[in-house]
Amino acid sequence: MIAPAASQRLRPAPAMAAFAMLAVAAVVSVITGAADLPVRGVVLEVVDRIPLLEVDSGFTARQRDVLWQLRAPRMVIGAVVGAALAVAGAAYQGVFRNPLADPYLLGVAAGAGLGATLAIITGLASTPLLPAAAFAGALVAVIVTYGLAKLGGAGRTTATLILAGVAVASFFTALQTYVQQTSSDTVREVFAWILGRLATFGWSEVLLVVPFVAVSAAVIVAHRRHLDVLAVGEGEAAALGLDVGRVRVLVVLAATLATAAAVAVAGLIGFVGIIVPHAVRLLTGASYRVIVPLSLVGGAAFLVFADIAARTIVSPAELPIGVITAFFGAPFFAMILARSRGAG
Amino acid sequence: MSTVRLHNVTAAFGKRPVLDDLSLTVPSGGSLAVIGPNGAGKSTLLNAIAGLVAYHGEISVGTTPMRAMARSTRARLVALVPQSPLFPAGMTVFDYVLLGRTPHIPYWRSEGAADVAITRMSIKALDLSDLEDRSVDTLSGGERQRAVLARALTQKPEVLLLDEPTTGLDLGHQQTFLELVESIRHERGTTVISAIHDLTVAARCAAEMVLLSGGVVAATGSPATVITEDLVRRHYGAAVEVIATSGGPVVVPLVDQTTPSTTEPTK
Repeated sequence: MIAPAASQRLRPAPAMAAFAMLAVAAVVSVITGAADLPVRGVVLEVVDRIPLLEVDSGFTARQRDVLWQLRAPRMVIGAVVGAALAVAGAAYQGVFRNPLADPYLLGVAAGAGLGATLAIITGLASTPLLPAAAFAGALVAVIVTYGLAKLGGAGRTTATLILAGVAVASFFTALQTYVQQTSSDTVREVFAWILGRLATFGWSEVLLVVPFVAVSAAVIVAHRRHLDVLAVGEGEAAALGLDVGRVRVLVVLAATLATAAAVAVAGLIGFVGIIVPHAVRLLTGASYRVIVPLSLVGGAAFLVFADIAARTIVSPAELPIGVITAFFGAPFFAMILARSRGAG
Repeated sequence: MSTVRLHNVTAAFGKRPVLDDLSLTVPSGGSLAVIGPNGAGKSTLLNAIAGLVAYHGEISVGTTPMRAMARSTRARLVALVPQSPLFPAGMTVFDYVLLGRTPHIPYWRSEGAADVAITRMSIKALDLSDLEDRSVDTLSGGERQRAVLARALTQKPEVLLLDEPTTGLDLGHQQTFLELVESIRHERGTTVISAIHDLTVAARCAAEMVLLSGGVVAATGSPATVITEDLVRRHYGAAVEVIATSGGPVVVPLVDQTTPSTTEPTK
């Protein structure tokens, strides 16, 4: 038995570091807020939830409610949305062979936003039809963006796809704003949501998105090897026996579903799909075998941290979480742009 | 075995026909050099065999027609060294060579120990062991070309297609590369078809040649019969002198020095 080359495989150290970050983010997230929840009590509460174990956390009924009905679901939804957006970003980057591809910049999130807005104003909020409508909108957006970029034709560069995405995003956002303004009774609900928010109504939304995100993430993780093959280009990948069309369709569908599910519960949160995969790339190398799984965990941790910042910076008020991600994302975007220009 | 047969193969690029009713046979374990002017259809011929372009007619390896074959089956049989391969930034030589195992790994699985072992063997065979952890995009031209060949060998193909494999290599690296291909062919019985620009190099690297011109076979046979002053003038539009040597014909371009240059100052 010969060990695989160490350089590009997922080694234990970075994986453990990512999980440790997520654990720290989770704990800090649930202890941060107006009501005081000591760390020790939180840990004991979690232990108490393990079947067959019973410990007394010393929490009052109110503290227990704050922990389990407010903070825990919010932390979990943040983690799930962050994981979904980050892994979708990595997937789009691999499939389109474009380092700037991101659910937000490709217009996919805006498409999902339009779909979800239509669902909300027709009274379908918090039903499984909400993510379905978001998925339909997102799928239309990604197809139009890709089609536009192809029309851009011969001199297809990194920028063409992103420009197409910007056009599609603007168009869908305009439609979305129009729909929103013409149905004024739900306008507040939609408006809060469009800026990106993680305020939840308990576990129902978590249950709404988790199945979609789990399926998409599983499909993308299963294709991490194929994304590495695609890195040599469509023609060479085909000559190596890869069914390029099948990989493209499956990965784009999965990434779009993940984006739609995330947008359906958390609104438009930009740049997560850029920041996280590129941070992973800088730290561990260019193989999607590493980038995909680490983006999943790292994305979860990143968005939980971003949510903590959103809740504390202007406390007791809250910043939209999209403001925090954009604050970190824009400089990242500039850096990647400069690097990809250098690479030609 | 792995005899390559093309029967009445026609391929078009858009509406422009690139290969026109082409038929040829390369015996199993043989080596064929394909020459011809720019746009003659050399790359299209190789890409058709590799299943990358649509064609009419029939291409078969051994007794199996290629058209009906699944992509992965075809890639286990035929490996292509493309004219200008892409070298992804940050991908290690090991991972790059491992890509050759793609057609052997089931869709939903990852590579196993056997795939890793075969990858290591190719890396060793092409003397890349010291560079295994380097990024492919940081390699020199000669090293890159060896990495691409290593990837092709990792496919364990019966047929190896080389599209202008020595372009951009200096004389020494050209020689080393072509010797490597020859030794692989002898050791493994691989059938080799290479498109080669340089006529002298082409003449040295294969016993059989095909001159393609306008998508049809203009001449075929030994280097001495294909590379003649007359054929080169007719199909390349170039005036050359062909010198017969023990290692095959050598092509020397004739530059007409009687025509006065217009930039020369007049007295």
